[in-house]
Amino acid sequence: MTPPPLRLLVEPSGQVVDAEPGERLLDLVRRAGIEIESICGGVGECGKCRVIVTPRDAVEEMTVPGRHGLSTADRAQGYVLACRSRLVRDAVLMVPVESRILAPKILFPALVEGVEPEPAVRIYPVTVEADPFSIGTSVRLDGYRGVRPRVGPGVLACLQRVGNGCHAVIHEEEEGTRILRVVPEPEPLYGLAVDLGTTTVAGALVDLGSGRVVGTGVALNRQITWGEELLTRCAVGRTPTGRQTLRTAAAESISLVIRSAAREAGISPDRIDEVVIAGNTVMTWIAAGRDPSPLELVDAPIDRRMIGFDAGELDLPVRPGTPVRCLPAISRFVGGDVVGDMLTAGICSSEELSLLADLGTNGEIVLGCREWRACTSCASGPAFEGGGISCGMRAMAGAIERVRIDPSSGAVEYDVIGGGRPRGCCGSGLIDAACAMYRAGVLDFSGRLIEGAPGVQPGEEGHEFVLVPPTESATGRAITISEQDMAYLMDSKAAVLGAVTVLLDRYRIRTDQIRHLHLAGAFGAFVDLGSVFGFGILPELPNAAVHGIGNGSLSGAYAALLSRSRRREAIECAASTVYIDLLVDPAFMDAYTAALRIPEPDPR
Amino acid sequence: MAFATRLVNRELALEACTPLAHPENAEALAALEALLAPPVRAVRFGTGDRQVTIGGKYVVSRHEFTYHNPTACAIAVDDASPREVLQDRVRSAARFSYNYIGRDLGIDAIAVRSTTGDPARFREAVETVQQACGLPLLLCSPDPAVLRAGLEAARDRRPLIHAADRTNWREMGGLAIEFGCPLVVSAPDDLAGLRSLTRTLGAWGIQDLVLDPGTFPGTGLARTLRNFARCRHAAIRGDDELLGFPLLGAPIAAFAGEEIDPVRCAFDEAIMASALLSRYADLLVLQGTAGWSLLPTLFWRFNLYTDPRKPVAVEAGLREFGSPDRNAPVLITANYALTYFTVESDIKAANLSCYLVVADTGGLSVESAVAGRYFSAAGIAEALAASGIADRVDHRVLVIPGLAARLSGEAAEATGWRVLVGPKDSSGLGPFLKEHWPPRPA
Amino acid sequence: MNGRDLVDALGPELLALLRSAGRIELERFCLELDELELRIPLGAFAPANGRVPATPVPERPDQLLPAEYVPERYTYPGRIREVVLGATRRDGGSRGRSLTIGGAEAPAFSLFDRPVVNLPVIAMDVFDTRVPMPKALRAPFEEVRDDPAEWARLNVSRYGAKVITVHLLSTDPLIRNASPRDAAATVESVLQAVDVPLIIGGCGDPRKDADVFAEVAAMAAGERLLLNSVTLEMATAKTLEKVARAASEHGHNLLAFTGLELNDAKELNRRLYEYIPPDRIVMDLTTVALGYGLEYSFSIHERARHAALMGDAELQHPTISGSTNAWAAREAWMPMAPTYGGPELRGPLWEAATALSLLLAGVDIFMMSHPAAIGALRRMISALCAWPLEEVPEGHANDWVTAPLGGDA
Repeated sequence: MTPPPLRLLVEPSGQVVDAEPGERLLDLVRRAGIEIESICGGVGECGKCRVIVTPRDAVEEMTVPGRHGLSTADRAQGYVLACRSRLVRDAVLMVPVESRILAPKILFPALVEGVEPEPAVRIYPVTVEADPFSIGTSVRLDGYRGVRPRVGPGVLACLQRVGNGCHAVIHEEEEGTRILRVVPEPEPLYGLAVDLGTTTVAGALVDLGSGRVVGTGVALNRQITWGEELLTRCAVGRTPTGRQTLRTAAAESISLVIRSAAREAGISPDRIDEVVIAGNTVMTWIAAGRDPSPLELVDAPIDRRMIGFDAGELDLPVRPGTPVRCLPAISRFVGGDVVGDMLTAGICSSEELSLLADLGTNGEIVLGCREWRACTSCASGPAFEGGGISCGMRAMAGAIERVRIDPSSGAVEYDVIGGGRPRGCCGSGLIDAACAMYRAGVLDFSGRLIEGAPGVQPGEEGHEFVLVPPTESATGRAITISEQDMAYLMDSKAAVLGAVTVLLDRYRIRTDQIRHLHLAGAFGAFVDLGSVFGFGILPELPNAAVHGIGNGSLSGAYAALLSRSRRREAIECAASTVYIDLLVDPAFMDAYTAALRIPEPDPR
Repeated sequence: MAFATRLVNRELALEACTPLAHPENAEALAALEALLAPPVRAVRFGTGDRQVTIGGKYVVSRHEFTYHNPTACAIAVDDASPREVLQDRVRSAARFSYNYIGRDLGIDAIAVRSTTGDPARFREAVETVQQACGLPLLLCSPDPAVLRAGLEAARDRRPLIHAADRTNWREMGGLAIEFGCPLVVSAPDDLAGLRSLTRTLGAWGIQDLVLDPGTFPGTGLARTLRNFARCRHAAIRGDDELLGFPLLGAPIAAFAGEEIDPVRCAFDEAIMASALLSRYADLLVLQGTAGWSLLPTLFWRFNLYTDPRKPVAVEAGLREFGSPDRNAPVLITANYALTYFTVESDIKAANLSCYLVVADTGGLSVESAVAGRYFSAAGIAEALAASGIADRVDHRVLVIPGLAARLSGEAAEATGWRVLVGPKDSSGLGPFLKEHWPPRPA
Repeated sequence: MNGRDLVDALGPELLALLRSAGRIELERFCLELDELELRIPLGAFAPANGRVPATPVPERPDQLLPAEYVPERYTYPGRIREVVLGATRRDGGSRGRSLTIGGAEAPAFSLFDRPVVNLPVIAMDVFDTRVPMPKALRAPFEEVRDDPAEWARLNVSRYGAKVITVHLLSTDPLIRNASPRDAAATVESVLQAVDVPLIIGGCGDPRKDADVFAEVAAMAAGERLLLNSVTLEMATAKTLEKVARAASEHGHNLLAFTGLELNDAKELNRRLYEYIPPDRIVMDLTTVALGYGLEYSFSIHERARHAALMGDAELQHPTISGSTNAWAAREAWMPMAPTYGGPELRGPLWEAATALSLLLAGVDIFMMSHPAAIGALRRMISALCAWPLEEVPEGHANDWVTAPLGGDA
């Protein structure tokens, strides 16, 4: 006889979840529909999925490897890690505020305007004619001048019977033209641009006639359950079942985005006639059903062409014949998402030299202009998004985004997103903090905490700098930056600066020759440039105009969706951009080492 | 002297002269080869018993001599098709056969086009095609990397590759040399461009070339025909070696326009094919595989390449079918091969026992022969007499073809036989004889 | 501070430093050169294995060798006469317009170096009696098969016929043996029904046709009919002169029909010149269906046209093709296996292919039946006769190589 299910009451939402004995708390919370932080993918390493369970003995804990476990103080307060705990009895579970993910906002750049609509999806009137001077029944699209469209025999027969005066929606690309569907009256056409990020999936539903964005959607990438890291997911993707699982997870996330965007636009999802995806190389391959495991080998050569397949393969809520097209990738590490950034920044069409930086989980740097481009990728880590740092968090309500330290008094001032008490520090806050700490004499030039400096105290593992005392924080615990945190920040910063240096040196470009600096993502939106240069993440560019391009991947996908010229530009760009592999480039180690210092502030 | 005459008439090949094979005659052999070489080069592709030779033309119009090497017809497939679709298409194209005057008309080659531009896909497609049939191949892509992949899969099959143009000729020339295969040169509507390419590739030592001046459908056909005529005239009348190569025509272009209905496209393709056959095309690339659109093309190809000096005829004389007794029907027909074989096949299909007198009408069909007075009352009488049929049957009733109806009166007079006018088409012989044989007393 | 200043500033100190040093080691040294010239004296190196290099292989050109193309232009001593079909009121007839055929000065549709003098013309068939006809061929005309005038009207109004051929097969002694008077009445009814030029077809009997043509010629005096046809058999039967004189007197044209033999054609023309001006003679060299000897028709027309252009005056006449003969081929109308489609596909294609080959051989006027075949030939004529030649759109010539063509057959 099967034992009756256990019941878990999840607060603060008040939902009750049925559970089998021994089920993991993390899965149960997710089943309740609550998005919970889990950067490490549920293996007990990041310590972010902490929850409080009553009664305490309703859970069994698994052993905890990894350094971000719970402190004794935490345990005393009843915290357990949801990923390491199994339910054995009915219980009440409270998801504390710091473990909850609040949906991040999509960043849309101003560059969304200025793309002339010339989409691949268009509608034409159909003329069907039988005449005595020919055999067969002519079917033509009025005003269409491309190659002969493919049309299934059933649709053709139907058109020839009743199709005169109807309208055909076609999809035209270099590889050929297809009639997607036939409608009696002309109607507006819609497409979907998707940024298929490692963590977040964002989408914009576009009216292809006007270029207007009529709906948006965001969702967490469900693949996170199988690993936050791309390499972890690659490993999962070695088997066909694993591949399918990951592919399905991506499809589910995209489906959520589609439904949300379609709801906002007030249209049915099956009105979407094309989907353009910008994602990094691994994400794209998984979505396309390709085996991502060759991408575990860092020097694997890759096909730099646009990947295409039909939506039916992904089981999306759109018509199965809807074309899905993925922006081409340049290398294992520089994918369609960066190509999207390049498209948004307009590097491929500009005569002036640009530097583009997309500092997410990895840092991708692009240097160039219309005539030539080079790109590279550095393992900057997620520090600039708040990952890997003890007090790090995403840029959302409760995150410190600005830090100032009075050099003489050592007093710390900070700004919190959304006001109120801080819970942690987001990327821009960390960068500000590091720069300010150096200027205030808390750090030496190599980024090490100086013992005895104001605010520096011994911590659990080495010294730490108190940013926010326990009394001022929302969690009741101090918000600190440890030695390890600083080491991580320095490593990240040196990786980026080293990468930029290698590119500039290789092509003999001086910093004063660069006319544009494009910064993608949250980094570009919120970060204080003074701190970026002050901490030494990027070199000073005296003649460069700085542009935050926001979610450049999504904007790039949007541009490629809306305009065939831009799409061609993306393809040509990907095909002709040089990729520099820093792992084998002898100059990188030197550049990295040289970058492991915080620049002297300019006395002026 | 007789040998020399036959050589000039291309009835014999130079190889037949054994003394010329001796090393000391090498120079003479080379000189003779050059003299006898056709102004339009003969280019071979494919291997084994299915290999195809195209070109090798001596004259502009067939009536000036005869045409050699019937135009090869290639059916196109593409590398975006799924494997099973590709296999089916190739197999049915390779198997297509229509029996016409005792010959089997069919397809000569498969053209593999790369629509994906992906070398790996192209290689797979070429492998699939080769497994499905043994026909020679034409590999088509403007991208040398793609063609290389295909060539590696077809290494031993000497495919023809399409095509070298002003942007990729170096790589294509390299492929032609490396794989030892003939090469198409392409310069749409640009004969100076074609000459430049053949000249340059010739300097690289590549002689097995095919010209593609471009096939333009619809109103562009005029330009196409003009370019074909210019090339052929230049080669044969103008002694232009740079244009002395076979011509590739692509009626498949009818499928590359705006018309979506495949039946219309196949019709237009068949019309274009007919025009290009008449105007010097040595190789055609076709898309339509339906029997109705292939038949006129295969027929006209066969007809154009018959030797105009020799009508396609069978021997005159008496034929027996089944087990005819002394009361069996006596039929008469012309000795044009098609007429004869059609009548023969209809007689056999109807399981008739009868005699068939084949009159010598100079190789013309009944209708032509009647019109041209080659099939006349006197001729019928002669044929009857020569056949000795009078000794084989007891009756004196002759069935003449319906198309010769007007001769019945005169024929009766000339032969002294009673003349019955049979059906206009020999497919009606069965029912006709059922109703009218044995003949009612006059 | 520029380089010069730097040297001036640092120079003395450096000099002092250097003097005191025995040895200088530079770390992290980098030298940038714009140009480096190395001179290797001849004979400095012997060939590695002592062998003399072989004769150099001629360089493969790495650029395209230039070439031109200069089109040839031939002029021919001869030219084809023009024949006018149909007469308007002004010229003694009642036709809406006349049509001129012939006039070629070069082989047809070959080098395209001059505009076509007169566009080839298509005449549509009308039969004055029910003759066995494949269903696919008679389908467009079912309603009018019993009324030649209606049939003619249909051909003109619905199918845009520019010329009508009235086949008076009912006059055939072996069919209905209709009288010349009946035949003339039929022709008259058609003349009243339509205002396009007419071709009048006989039955092929040399005596009967002579009587019929004479009667029709008189009845339709001035209309410039084309009498289809006179033959050497008529000469043998001694009826040729009658027809020829009647045609000449009443202002008609003659179609001289011979059986695939140029010498016969020349002979017949020679005889006709006695009675009628040469610009009233059209030649029919015989059209045989595709598969049944079309190549004979094709070659004889090419030969005739070539000989005429080279000066043989006896062949300098426009030619006609009875392309409807294509339907005599079984392949045009027989039911066949599904891949061969139905006769409604094959028949028109057969007729069009037959006519098309002869169009390229220079034939000036076509007698045709099926509207779909006629449509195909009209489109071909229109495409080939456009002058100057239409430009081809850039960059699409080789679409067929890489374009997905709809993926079907």
